[in-house]
Amino acid sequence: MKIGYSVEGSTDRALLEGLRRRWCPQAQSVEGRVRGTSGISQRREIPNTCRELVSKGAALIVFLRDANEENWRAVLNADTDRCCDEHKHLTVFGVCDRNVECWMCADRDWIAKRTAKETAEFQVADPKAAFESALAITARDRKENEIAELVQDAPLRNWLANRSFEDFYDNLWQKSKEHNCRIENLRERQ
Amino acid sequence: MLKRLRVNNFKSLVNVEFQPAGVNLLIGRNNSGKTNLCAAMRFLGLTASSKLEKAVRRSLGETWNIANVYSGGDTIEIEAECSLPYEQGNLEFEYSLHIGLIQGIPPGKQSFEIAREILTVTGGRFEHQRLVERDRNQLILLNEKRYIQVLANLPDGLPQIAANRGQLEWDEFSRMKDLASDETALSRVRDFENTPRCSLFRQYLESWAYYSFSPGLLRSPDVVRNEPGLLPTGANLARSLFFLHNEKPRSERKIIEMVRTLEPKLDLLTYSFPDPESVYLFMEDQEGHRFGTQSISDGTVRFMAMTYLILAAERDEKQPAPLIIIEEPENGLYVGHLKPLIERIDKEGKGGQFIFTTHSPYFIDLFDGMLEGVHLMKPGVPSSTLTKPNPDKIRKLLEVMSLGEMHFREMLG
Repeated sequence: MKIGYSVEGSTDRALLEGLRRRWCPQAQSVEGRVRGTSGISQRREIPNTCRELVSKGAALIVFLRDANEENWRAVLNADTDRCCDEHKHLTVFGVCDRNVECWMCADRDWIAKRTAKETAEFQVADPKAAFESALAITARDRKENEIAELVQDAPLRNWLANRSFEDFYDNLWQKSKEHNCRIENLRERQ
Repeated sequence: MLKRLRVNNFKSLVNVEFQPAGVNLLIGRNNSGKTNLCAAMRFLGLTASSKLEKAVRRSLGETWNIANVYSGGDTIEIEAECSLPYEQGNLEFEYSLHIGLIQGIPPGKQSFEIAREILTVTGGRFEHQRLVERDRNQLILLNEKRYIQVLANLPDGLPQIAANRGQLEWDEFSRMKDLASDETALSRVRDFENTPRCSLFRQYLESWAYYSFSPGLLRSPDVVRNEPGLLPTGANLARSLFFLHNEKPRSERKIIEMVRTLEPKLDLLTYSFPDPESVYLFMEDQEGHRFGTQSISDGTVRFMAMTYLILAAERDEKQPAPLIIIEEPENGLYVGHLKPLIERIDKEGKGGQFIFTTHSPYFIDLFDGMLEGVHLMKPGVPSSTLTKPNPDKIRKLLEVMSLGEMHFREMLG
């Protein structure tokens, strides 16, 4: 199975890679191309990205981006509306409330423990800087593999407290049932 | 017109086959083998007039590691099938050139010798007839005039020739003396009376031209002696245009008209030649202001050179249309200016068969009406691969995205 995806940045890409390793290790990822580097470009190119990834054999297409200063649900609706009817059954849209680092740091105790930092460092509205500092992420070294490894082990159940992640997970859960592949049931009581 | 080219064991190309149309576009990432394929064509063209080492040096710039590094073979093979107009019809030529590599010291340095060379022709009274047959230093060259005379005297013509091939053929060949091991027999054929077909093919190969323009050299006033036309780097542009100015003013006018699409104020091209070694080119507007090539943008001088190749290097109707290879023509140019120029190329290749290489999605977009000429190269070990995208699949996708977009998204291969 091939999973196509389009992301806005390297941390988004690493997060999806971590989820793939965790839930669909047998699946192959294929990244769609975008002419441009912004979220606006990504949205503009949704129809062509879908066409590209379908032609490359993707059975599922995941779009992931940050809402930044915008309302994440409004961004999500705008992105979803841009998708052609012919591709809607294949696509999952995820928009991170503020940014993907908010998902990564949704469980502050866990991320603090994993990065050997103080929990207080992540107790901020936007933990992006703290997260990048903790992982020593630089422009030259985006630490994608390290982020993917974090996601593989992350307590995703606790991430559901973030509404934008919960929405993304619910969509993935639905799609996984359609594709007859097993992904973790984060809502199941332990 | 070149119909098929097979290249084996030449740089990154192992048994790669190229079937060009009239106008062609070679697309591929960096290091995919586009330039190697162009170099193979340039090399083959140069062997029709130069010794092998010179041809290698001019096409590749060096004589090291010419063969494919992975396959380890000691012979380079290049085969070309071409269709050329002759008298009232067309002749189909098949040329096969095998070049033996002699390893030198230090390792990697190579010298070259002809291992095998065969030219056959079909058309008119000839049916797959060998015009040149050479095996190392053994050479047989057909005297076409005498061959036709023999043919005319045989009551059953071709069938009788075929039945007696061994006896009749060899009687009609003559030997070429003092042919060196590092030059093709074809390069020595100049006798249009006794070997007109062979000479025609040599002349055609000689017309193959390769260009990868350097803006600095395009601007250079230096005259390159013994080279009347534009050189592969773009050098000699001023001299080439000056030649048109003096000898073919109508062709020069065509260039001026086309360049006006970039420079609307252009009225004339004027020249200054203070000594035999230099020709200075100027663009002059209607008020008499002159602008030297150093004041003209990279894109404009490149456009001028492209226009020269496409429009002004007028073809002699009696000669086969040349094969012209141009690498990355869009560099430095607003692609909107290239569109009218590309549209001036005869799609059937009658005014010249063109092969362009590019990375630009915008330039690729210009070929969405010429899909039969779009070729995709991909890097690989031991060889680059050359494929033709599926036209039906592309046409369907063209309704929703451009050809350049498909290339950008790697959907062509």
